Amino acid sequence: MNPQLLVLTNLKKSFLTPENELLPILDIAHFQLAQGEQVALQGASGCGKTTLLHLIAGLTPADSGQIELAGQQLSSLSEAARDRLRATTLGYIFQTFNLLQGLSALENVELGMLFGGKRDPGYARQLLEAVELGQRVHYRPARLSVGQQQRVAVARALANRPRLVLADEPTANLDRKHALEAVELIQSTCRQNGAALLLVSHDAEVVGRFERVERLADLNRVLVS
Amino acid sequence: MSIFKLAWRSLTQHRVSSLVTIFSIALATGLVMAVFAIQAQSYAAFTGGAGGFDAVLGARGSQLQLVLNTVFHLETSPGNIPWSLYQAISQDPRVARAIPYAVGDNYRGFRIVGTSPELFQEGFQLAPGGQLFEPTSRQAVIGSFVAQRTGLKPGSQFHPYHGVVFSESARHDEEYTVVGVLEPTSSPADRVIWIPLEGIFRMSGHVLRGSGKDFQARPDHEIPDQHKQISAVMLELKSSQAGFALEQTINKQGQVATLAWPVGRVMAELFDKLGWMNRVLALVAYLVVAVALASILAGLYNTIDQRRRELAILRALGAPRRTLLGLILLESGLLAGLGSLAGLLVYTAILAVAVAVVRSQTGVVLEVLAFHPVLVLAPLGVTALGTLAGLLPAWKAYRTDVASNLAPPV
Repeated sequence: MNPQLLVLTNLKKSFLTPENELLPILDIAHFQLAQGEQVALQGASGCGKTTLLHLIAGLTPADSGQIELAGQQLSSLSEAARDRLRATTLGYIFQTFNLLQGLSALENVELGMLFGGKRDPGYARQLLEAVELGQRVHYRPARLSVGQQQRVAVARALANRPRLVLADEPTANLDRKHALEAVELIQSTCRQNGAALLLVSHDAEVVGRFERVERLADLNRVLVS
Repeated sequence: MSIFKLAWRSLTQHRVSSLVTIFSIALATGLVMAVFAIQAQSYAAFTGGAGGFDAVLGARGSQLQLVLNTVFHLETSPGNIPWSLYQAISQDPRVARAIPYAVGDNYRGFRIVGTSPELFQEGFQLAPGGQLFEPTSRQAVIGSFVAQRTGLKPGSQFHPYHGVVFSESARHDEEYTVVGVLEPTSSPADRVIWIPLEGIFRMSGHVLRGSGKDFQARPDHEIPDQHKQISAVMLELKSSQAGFALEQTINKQGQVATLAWPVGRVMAELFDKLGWMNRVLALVAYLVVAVALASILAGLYNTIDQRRRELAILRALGAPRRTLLGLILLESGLLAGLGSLAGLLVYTAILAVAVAVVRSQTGVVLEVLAFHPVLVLAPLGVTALGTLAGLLPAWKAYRTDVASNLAPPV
């Protein structure tokens, strides 16, 4: 068994409602992900999938519990150190791709390596070629199809040679054919780059492509109760 | 990809608002530079002396009016002085050179000054093909600006007009011939038509009152000295002590004439009196800069709301908060820096117009490319202040919440 890359222990998160009441969202007793492992996390809309990814990425602080990523406890790190860890260790694929419209495909991919201190335009181009966009490196997102934008987002997520890629409903905006192609692409590129993958989706056909599938309804004690 | 490129792309993405901001900064910086540079150059040009002359002797009255009339060929003459006064001062051992001026006529608005050929011994040079006028002929030597504007050249003939303001109906019968054009001197002399002193005395309609009684010169008859009168005498003194002594004698003890000495001091006093105007102009320029800086602040501050998602994406990719702060400050610095550079073009354009106006109105030539510390300090200062104007928007970017801004607005 590979050593654990991500370990969640007694992780809790709640939000304040407009009525000033605490609304529990997540309560996960234990979850772990090994280096290079690919896991699909299935859950319905609004069950806390995105919040969980934000917690793992250090974008939102947990109320309590532990998140150990690449051997480091997120709660013990300063915000700057969490930024640094995110820039060097994580790749993030968003549901809406979140490409910067003013930048070309190549520049968007280069952006993925800007804050990790590993600037390598050759590698960025190589990634775009790997997702079959070698001829469109200078296209801005508006000139690319939805499927092509998704591929740029995949290339950007891998640009900083991450150890873990978080994919948040990456196929939600794609039709069936492109959705399955996108999942295949994400899985294969993560595998080729030695990155672990945690993909969250409500789509049964998408999660069916993974060997390990976890249901958030089983993990999250808020939903269980 | 670099932070600089990211900032640049952001500015080009909002190119209309960026260009408007750069333009307003350019106008403000150019205006500040122009106000200070024109002020300094004007002061230097108008107080820098009178082409080798130290003092002006004229009728009893305002020293400033005397200097404006004789050195800058503006204003009207404060009056006339008798020929005897000229003879006395020209023989004074403290005076190195005394040149008489008689004014009161013009040609198409350019002043005609009667003088002696000795004037041209210093500070003037004739253009090739020209010569000085004969003291007893109807000949004229013209300044370079007059030649350029009127088209007069050696051999051209013209009629003088009475008064210092051009009026078609005030034409004198006498016809003068241009015999020489002076090389440019970058001084008010470029706007003058010089004729022999005798020409003014004998101009039709001119009445001489040097003796206290009216006298009109007749052709082919000598003009007795006692009837002659002139407007002023330009004086080159042998020493500054001579100036003190003459001022004492003429201004404080005498009651007939006025000595404007030193010429630069008289003009400096005028500038001092107008100092409040310079301060108002500077204040207006500073206010324009403040408005331009505010436009940087408002422009960037408003775009931060539209860019929250972009900023959140950068944070999600690992950008520290301080990088967002730096990014916005870099953008404000770029706007201010580019605006300041464009301000140099605005400054050049304003100076070019000012130079043309000042030259055509006074003959004084200001230099567009003359160095003044404000040409360095203003762009640097505006760039620094412009960068600081980005602090508030940068702080807003710094505080952007990532999680709530990653999803597109619904």
